[in-house]
Amino acid sequence: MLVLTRKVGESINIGDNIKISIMDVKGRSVRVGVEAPRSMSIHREEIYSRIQDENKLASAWKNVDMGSLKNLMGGMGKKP
Amino acid sequence: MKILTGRFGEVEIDPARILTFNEGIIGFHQYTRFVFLPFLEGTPFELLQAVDQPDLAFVTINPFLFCEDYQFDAEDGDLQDIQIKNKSDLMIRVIVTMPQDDPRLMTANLQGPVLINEARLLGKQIVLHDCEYTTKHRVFPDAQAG
Repeated sequence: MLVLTRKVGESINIGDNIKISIMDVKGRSVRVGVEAPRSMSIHREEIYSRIQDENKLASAWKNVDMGSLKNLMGGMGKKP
Repeated sequence: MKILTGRFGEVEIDPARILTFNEGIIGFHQYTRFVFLPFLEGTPFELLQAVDQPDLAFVTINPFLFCEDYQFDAEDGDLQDIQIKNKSDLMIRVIVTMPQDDPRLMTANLQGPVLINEARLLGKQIVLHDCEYTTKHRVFPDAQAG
């Protein structure tokens, strides 16, 4: 990994289109600004990973007991 | 056209209803074509089935059925990605995680909703960063395990 030291207000360019700026530092928190093309999605890693993990769990529904699910959901239209 | 599904075997679908998720579903970026199939008669679930991978399918539900005041600020860019011009064109679904043994404990991912533009046949799962919702919102909050 490339490691660079930056001061508040300084930036890093990645290629022509991506700029990462250090906005502020308070204690152990760093505010980072990211400018990038719209097509690049930018996420906080832990939140993105959480969604990814949940999707993986959700995709493994195949052993669900359909009978009890159907019983359970019978009343859903009336009372969620 | 016919597609193969893990749950229903071969299923006839209308190719005009295939949704394109240009970025896939998060964690499964390689599959971009999905179709909604009925999941279980008499229940509000729909299966979001990958057209090109029989074993990839997500149980989804309309979040407003169990979380009436669900709301979030979608980013303009996300809406542009699926060509939403008016909010009324937007359909929102969330992915449900089914525990194997007790469906009462099912949870819905309210932090990663799926946005659909049915008219344009485009979809996108987005990530909510600053919100009160979690990936494990209980659909039946009163249900106890056991």
